[in-house]
Amino acid sequence: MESFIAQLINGLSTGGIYALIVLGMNLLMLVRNIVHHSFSHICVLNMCIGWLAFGYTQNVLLAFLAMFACGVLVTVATEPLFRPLSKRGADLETIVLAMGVGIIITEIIAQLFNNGQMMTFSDEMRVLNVGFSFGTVTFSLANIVALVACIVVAVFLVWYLFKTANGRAMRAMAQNLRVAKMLGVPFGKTGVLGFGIAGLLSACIGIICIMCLGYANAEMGDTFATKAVILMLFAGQGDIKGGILSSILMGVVEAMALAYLPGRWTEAIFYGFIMIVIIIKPNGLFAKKAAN
Amino acid sequence: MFSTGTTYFLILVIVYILLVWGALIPFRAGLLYNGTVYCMAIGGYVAGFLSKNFDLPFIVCVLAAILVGLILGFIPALGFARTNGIVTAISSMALIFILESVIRNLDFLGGSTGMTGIHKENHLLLWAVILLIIFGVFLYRLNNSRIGRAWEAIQTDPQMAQSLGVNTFWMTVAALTLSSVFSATAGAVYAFNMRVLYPGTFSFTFLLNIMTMLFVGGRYTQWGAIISCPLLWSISVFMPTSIQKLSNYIYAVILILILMLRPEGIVTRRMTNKVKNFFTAKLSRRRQGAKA
Amino acid sequence: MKKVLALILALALCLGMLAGCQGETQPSENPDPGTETSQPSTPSGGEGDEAGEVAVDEWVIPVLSARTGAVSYVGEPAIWAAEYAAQVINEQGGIRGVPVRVEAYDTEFSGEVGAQIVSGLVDDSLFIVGCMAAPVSLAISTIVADAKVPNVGSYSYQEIRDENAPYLSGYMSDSEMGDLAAATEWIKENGYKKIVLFYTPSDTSQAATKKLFDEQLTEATGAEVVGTVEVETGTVDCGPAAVQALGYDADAYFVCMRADEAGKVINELRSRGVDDPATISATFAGFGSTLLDICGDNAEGIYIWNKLDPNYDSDEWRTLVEAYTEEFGEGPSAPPVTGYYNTLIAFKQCVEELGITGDPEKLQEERDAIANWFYNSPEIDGIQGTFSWVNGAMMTDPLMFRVENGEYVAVD
Repeated sequence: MESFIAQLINGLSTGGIYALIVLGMNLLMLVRNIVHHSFSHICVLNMCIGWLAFGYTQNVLLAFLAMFACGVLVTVATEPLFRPLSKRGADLETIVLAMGVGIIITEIIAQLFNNGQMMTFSDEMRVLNVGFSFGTVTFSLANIVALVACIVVAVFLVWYLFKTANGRAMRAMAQNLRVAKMLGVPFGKTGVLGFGIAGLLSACIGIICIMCLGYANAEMGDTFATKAVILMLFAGQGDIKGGILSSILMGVVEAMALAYLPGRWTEAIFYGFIMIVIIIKPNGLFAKKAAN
Repeated sequence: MFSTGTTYFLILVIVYILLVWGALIPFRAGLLYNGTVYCMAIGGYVAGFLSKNFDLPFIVCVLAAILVGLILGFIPALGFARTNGIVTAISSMALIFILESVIRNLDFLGGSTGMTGIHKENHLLLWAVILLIIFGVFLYRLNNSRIGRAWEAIQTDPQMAQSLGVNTFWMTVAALTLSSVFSATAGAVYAFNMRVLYPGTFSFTFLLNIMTMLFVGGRYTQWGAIISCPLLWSISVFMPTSIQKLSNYIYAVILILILMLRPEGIVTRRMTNKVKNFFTAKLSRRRQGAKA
Repeated sequence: MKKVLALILALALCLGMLAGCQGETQPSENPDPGTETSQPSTPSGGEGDEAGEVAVDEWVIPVLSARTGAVSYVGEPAIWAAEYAAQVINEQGGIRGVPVRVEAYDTEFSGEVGAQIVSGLVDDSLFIVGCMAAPVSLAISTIVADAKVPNVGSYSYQEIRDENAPYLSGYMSDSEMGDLAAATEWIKENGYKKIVLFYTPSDTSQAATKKLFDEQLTEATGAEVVGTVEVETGTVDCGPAAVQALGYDADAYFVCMRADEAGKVINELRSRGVDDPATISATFAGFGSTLLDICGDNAEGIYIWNKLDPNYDSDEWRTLVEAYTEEFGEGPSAPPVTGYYNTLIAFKQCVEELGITGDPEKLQEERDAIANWFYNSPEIDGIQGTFSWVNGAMMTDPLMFRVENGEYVAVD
């Protein structure tokens, strides 16, 4: 029983991180109708920048500021790359282009930060990493913050995208570019705004990851990216609530699978399950609920 | 006449061309199918297994690989034909993870340590070229046949295609199954070329290479692959030592630029039509003269 | 119709040509020495069989390693070590009076890229060093063995060396053998009975360790593997793995993984109730500053074994450490560093003992001689003591360490 609870909490804490990344990707899905496969790479790059900035300044606040700057700059910098593709409605190609961006970011991290070795963060940067443990059950304040952050960010995004003029303009553009333009939505400005918000979110994810995980390396971007894209589709593209639910659910399922399934087959079962669900419900597991 | 290096280069390029064609066929029907690497692994392991344990000649192994690839490609195709767009792309990617973990657990295929002892085929380059020509001619004929036009109709507008009497479901299944045949053949040639197989070979990186070659070369004609495969493969292999470290950047930048600036890739439909017109102009003029 | 006919004719012609080409490449399969005539190196005088005359201006040694990609942080030091060894040899007057030059190639941790590069080298090379990573070495093994070129790479298990003998040898001792020897020592010293093994199933040599432990650990130590926990490379949260391991109710934990995952697992184990650090042992794959960075205080007191001793006591080693630190900012800890260095030193000894000339006329003969010499070598004076190759396996003893005050301290 104790190990069951421990695995449940493990699952919730990884699920929280997945959920945040899926949120960011869903945001960009709603803003530009693109699958920003490299969004998680940007989050990891933010962590690396934080590591570097802290190494130089020894000041946590400055390091976090640097992460925000990096997140916003890099995310906004990718916006012009997607522009010609969005203009000609090439949705499929966006994921390939994002993979190209991902390769570049991974390579930058592998070559320029810490000789490509894993970076670990000091306790000063992991301020919220206050652990509680009862036997094998452990969790930290940072895990709770991650879960709370998910909900807060999701509520904010839903409000922003569905209730404000700017947000509506963004969604209009993603759904039908020509009509949106006709209605006077400025294409570039709205896009940059959406990407900027995603950039802020990526910095927040970076900070939360620093506190929860405490390390970063080049491969992390790819690990997160594959999982996040799959989870996003699992829930349905652009479905914010579904994204959070399915991410947290998957975090738990993954932890349980690791613990109770024969280890060598975990991956086959895990991906097989997801694939079958996606095939049966191509519009996402929560598609119906969202429509109602 | 050819050195070992050149022979290797040519065979690997042929493998890549076959794989890119394997990805091109579903794309003709409007699907970005990532099962190519999955079918390649199946073809490779079937051919390798038969050669190693039963000492069968190359061509028998290839035929067996095609047969098994056809069957194991057909089954998931039934599912993927229900999906479209990014959903197909990602859920078919899961096939790679599943197969990889299955192979690891099958000791008769060598498990994690890999399969060695595949027999040497002395005329492999010759065989590979013959296969390339057969498949090339087949694909060319197919593209200009009723099936090819049906696929094109599905790509442009599935609903319209349906209203014109195209059975979109079975047409898509056919495209995916045919793609499996191409990939399985490529896998068999690959297995005889490397003569060593291990699960990690058929990974995400390989898939990324294929996608890049498809998108850079041109995804509406079969001729793009013939240019992009040797070009991109040279970039990753023959980089001078001084800029070796930049090869990944260059690869990614080429991918991004092509996607942004050349929507159809290097070789476009217009280009091939021009070439075709150039060659057929004389002929048709002569014919018209005869008719008159 | 005519067009089709013409096309078929043209195709037939092309095929015929290709068939011809293939036919011509056949002779290189021939084991006869002396058929290789495509050697482009220096045309320097001595055509006669004056044994001992060196026929080249410099010894060119291709060295392969992964300089980009996931394992570049081990791959780059390997190249560095080879270049450093070449520099040391040249300062001492080269090999038989001729300088040696290292040609570095990047295999990108990809089998196809490695195979492509090696296939371009085998026609002319006398000797090839690398690859550094096991899967890539596996991919190139058939090429070098077909071309009969001696290759010292990460061939870390006996079957592959047997299959292609005598052309393949390992640049470091066999990992699974080292794991077994180290685990035996650690278990016997502390009297453990029930062991949990952590490993990464996608890593060839770690999977081999798992197999070897299943077969031989009980026999060797009396202890039993009560459970194995698979942790994939890049696993974000190792908590589930640790909880699973704790569920087996074992005495001790053998963590056979790369530093990144090993560190995370050790952290999780320690924070979930493993109080005695001596019950945790890591392997050479995790050795290095990364593990200490990740674990911090959690690493205090754990066991770990390695193939090289970072604090080895000799002038030669200290000079190397100084040069290495200048380049990378910290001391060497990964086995490829000594592995590549020792391989080049061994090459020097080999050429001098056998009187290798580098003469293109005798290329195959000399390749065979070098391969046989390496496969079962005499004693070689390496940078960390003497060693030798037996059936292609480099014979060095595993070195046991414990972490004390954030440093690795050798255990006798």
